Amino acid sequence: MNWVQLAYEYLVGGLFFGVTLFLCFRAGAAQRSNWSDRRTLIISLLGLAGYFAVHLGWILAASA
Amino acid sequence: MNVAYGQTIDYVIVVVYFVLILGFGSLFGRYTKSTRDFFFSGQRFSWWLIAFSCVATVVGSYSFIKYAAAGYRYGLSSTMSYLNDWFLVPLFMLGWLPIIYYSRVTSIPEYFEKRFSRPTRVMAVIFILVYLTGYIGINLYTLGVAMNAIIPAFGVFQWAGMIAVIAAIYVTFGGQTAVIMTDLAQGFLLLGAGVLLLYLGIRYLGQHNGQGLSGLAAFWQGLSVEHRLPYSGLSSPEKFPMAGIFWQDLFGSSMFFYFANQGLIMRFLAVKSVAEGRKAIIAVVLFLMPLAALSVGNAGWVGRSMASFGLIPANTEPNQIFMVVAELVARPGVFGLILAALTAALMSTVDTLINAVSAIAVNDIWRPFVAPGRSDGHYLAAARVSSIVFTILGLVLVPLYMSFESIYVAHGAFTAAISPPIIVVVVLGILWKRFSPVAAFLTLLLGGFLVGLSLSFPDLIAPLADFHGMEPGTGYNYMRALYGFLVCSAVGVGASLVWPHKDPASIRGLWVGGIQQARRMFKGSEPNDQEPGLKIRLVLEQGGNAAPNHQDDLPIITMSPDSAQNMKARAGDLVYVADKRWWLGGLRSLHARLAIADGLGKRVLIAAGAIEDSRLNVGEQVLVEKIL
Repeated sequence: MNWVQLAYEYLVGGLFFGVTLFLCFRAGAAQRSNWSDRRTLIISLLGLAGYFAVHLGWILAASA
Repeated sequence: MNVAYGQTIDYVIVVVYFVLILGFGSLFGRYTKSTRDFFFSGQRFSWWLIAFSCVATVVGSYSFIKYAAAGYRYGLSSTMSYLNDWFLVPLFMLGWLPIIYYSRVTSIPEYFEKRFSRPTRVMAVIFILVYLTGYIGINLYTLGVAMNAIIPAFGVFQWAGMIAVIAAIYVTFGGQTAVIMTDLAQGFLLLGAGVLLLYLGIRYLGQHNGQGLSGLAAFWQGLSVEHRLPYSGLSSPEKFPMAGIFWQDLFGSSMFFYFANQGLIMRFLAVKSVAEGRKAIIAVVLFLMPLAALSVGNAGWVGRSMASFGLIPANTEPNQIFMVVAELVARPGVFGLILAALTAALMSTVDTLINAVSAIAVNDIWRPFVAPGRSDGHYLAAARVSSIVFTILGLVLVPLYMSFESIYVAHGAFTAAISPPIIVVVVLGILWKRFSPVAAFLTLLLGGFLVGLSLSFPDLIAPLADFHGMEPGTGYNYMRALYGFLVCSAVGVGASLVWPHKDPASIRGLWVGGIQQARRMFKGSEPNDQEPGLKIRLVLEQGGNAAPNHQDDLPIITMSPDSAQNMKARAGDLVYVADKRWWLGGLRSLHARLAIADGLGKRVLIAAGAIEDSRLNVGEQVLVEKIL
């Protein structure tokens, strides 16, 4: 099965994703008071969750 | 000996496609009146135009052949390369895109000079120019090889020459607008043909599996569990390990593509606003890349299922699987369409490269060093000449690649050596205020040297490869991106601790901490985008203030206070006016500054000269929206 690969991709990739997102907000590049930045943050997180769900479902479907 | 695929009707369709693309691309010459138009299409386009054209650029020469072969060998995990880019998206959307857009840089080398120093710019120009010129040659070469395998009547060089001439003509006349528009058409074609091929393949499996299974069931059951999974093994198979693909594709290819590829940067500088650029990258990574992965890989998956049912020989050569499946499932004519999609994938990468290398030549060599202070018309002519010159240079490389494999290998090695240092300099430059000019220069020079050293002494990569359980050889090659990322970061961080960084005031807008200042500089006053306003329809009339704003060359548009209120806009805000037909994608549009006057009702006034430049029609409705 692909569980190790799934964990590897989302832990290492997720670390880069999270750190860069955090730095952009901490440095003031994006502001939660700005609607466009707020929307971008939400879409970023939803996109990550969506990709994870697709990969998870894919592994389960392939293994069934 | 080569075997020809297809029939006469298929070749006719390919020829007609060439003629249509040439004519379509050349149409946009009239939209190119300045270097801003030639390189950045006047910064006017909608997200969907940019998104589709980006995908056409990503799906490059040999993608159909390469990923169909990977799909045949390794199953659905061939999609790995296309489905891991989302991790990079926040930094692109919130960091890199606003930086390049608001600071008005035109190239990576120019960013390097503003952010670091002139020597860093010069080194980047050398790296990128050698890389791009060689890459044009490689694309023309692989394109010639692919087309020669399909239609052997013409040799590799003849095919390369034909495609080069077509691409060079429309790029030279139409610049970035022609590239974007033709890539839009080519993107639709290659994605559409890919999906069509999957449909036809599944239908064929349904009709011929001999067990009464539906097409979809036959497709799925024809794949082993291993071939159905989204990932290969972490460190196996040797030529397609998941960890290797992850590092090479995500932190090598994709990061270079999104953060250091001149062609892609120019594409995102052609959008009408940063918000529109964000929509484009979301559409690319979230929707179009998965579709592209399916389009380029499905012939291999279908082929694997067909082999399971004995419909094609089990020992079919993987590099031939795309053509074998396409010819088997597609009728004459439809096969021609698929061939046209293959050439679309090839040509849409070459045209982007030609426009990109021309931008570097003019904006980073000709304008600052050779002929500074000339008119924009002079630089536009230089851009057109350089497009032709670099296409010829790329074409000249084709016979060299054909004759001397060492040159092909050398370009690959050069690319492997320069990619990590450029990526690290961009990423540290974006994120870290203390990243110093000397450190950036050393990262390019010493980092590049250390990555190059690993090509001669692969054992340098051994600890990383061993940690992931990879064997020497291919496994080391895959882990070179991680090695490069680590050593270049070490050089950059170490040197920044020794040499002083630039005064923060001098790098405003060039790192994430200065983006809000960059927004103010871009607008010339405090941005007004805390809350969104409506996009409104007004009737365009000629009139109002004819003089451009004193701060920049933007024209002034005048509307009523009610209209401005609906847009949540104030006098002096940046606004965007476009033809009401959304499907033009901003082809007829302009950016302007807002003025407010009573008594205009549902009308908007724009000076005659600006209307002429934007190709908007007086008396018709236009869409107006606030940008900043």
